Amino acid sequence: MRVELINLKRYFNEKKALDIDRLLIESGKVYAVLGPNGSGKSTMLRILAGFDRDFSGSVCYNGMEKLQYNCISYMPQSIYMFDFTVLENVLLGFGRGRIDRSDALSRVKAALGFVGMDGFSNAKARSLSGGEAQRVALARTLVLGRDLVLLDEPSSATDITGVGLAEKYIRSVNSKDGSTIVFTTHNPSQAARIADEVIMMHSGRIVEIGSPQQIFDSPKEQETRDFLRNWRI
Amino acid sequence: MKTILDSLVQAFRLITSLNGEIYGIIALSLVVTILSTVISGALAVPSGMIIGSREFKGKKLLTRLISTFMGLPPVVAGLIVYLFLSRKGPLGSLGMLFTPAAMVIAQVLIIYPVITGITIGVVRAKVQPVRETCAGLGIGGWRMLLLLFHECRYSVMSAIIAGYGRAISEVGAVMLVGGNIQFYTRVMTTAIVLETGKGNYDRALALGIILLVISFIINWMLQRIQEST
Repeated sequence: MRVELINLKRYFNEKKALDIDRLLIESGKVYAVLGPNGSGKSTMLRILAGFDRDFSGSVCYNGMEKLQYNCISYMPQSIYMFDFTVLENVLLGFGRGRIDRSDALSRVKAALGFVGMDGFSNAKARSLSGGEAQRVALARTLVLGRDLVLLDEPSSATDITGVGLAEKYIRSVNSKDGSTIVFTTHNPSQAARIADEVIMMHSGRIVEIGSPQQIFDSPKEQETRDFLRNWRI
Repeated sequence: MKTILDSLVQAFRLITSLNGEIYGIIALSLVVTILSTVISGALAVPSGMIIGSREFKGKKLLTRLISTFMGLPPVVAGLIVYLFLSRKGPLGSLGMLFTPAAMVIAQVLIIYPVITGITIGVVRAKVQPVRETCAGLGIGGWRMLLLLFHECRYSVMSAIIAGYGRAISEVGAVMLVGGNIQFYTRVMTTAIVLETGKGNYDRALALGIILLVISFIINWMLQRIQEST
């Protein structure tokens, strides 16, 4: 899905949280939104997801301002697990009658395998640790294979093994389903590993966009250099 | 102390006496309170869910009104129902005053705000993460509301238990609209008031003990349902 943000502004109590002149998210690519705390990453993702409509400017999805039903999946930063089993949680997004149940079940099982949680299918989702819940939430979001997938810090609480699995799964969904994926992260290494494009944000503005190589090897802007100063691979 | 011990003996005797009037009073108390709790629950839970989960104009005012009505004195609720059902009232032609139906209506008026108010509070605490997660998966409308209910079900059950507790202990409204008519509208609480007035303290206390035991059993059963779901 191709998404275009034009002259987008979002204020919180008169404080400008987002100020984007133009951003083009091209179909089928993986975008990493990078930046320090409070740089507007999550705000931008919430606007893209259609949750936050209290902004000025426009957001166009495939050229239209109206968001089409069931073409986006979004994973919020704070994970909420329903009081069901892990399997039932991941099945939720398919709804009833939208897809054959056995097909949905096999996709869900495969998704849980991707994130290394296949042994937890029948466990109560509420009994999972923070990192495990995050992996399940990632599977729940990615399994739907939607056109646009938005992930707000998808592996911030996950261990190294989990991070590796999550990144592999994100890339796999992008290549198999052709989903456009936008994820936020604080970790430049993660952006370098899986993103096609890096969107560098600072104080609500996009300071730089480019390939990971461009951004990390030869950053043009001072804010990017400042952010990457303490980065150790 | 002697009166209390005598009352315990009297309560035991009353239960085992096979006294038709006592069993009738107990049965009517249960029918009226359970029916009013079921009706209130059926009305209050959906409205609490909708008010708690939706944003609309006047929501704050409505929530404050419901909170105010949570503390509605039963006698005032009884008076309102009395005025509506009395012969000169707008619903006087129905001839419902001094009937068990009138008692149920009065209790619904008392319990409805209690269950609604608690449900609103419970839903408000859960709605944001549930809505956001649902929306992120493309779930909306009634399915989101059903999931929200599922997540709040234990607390909603507690709200219903609280409503039932208010119904079983209530006396003012049922006295006003029921009239405490022997073999017809006399319930445990109005019978206690009557026996106390007559100076039959041991019988009044015995009825009070039976009321407590019944209340305990019902609450225990409701909590068992809550734990098993």
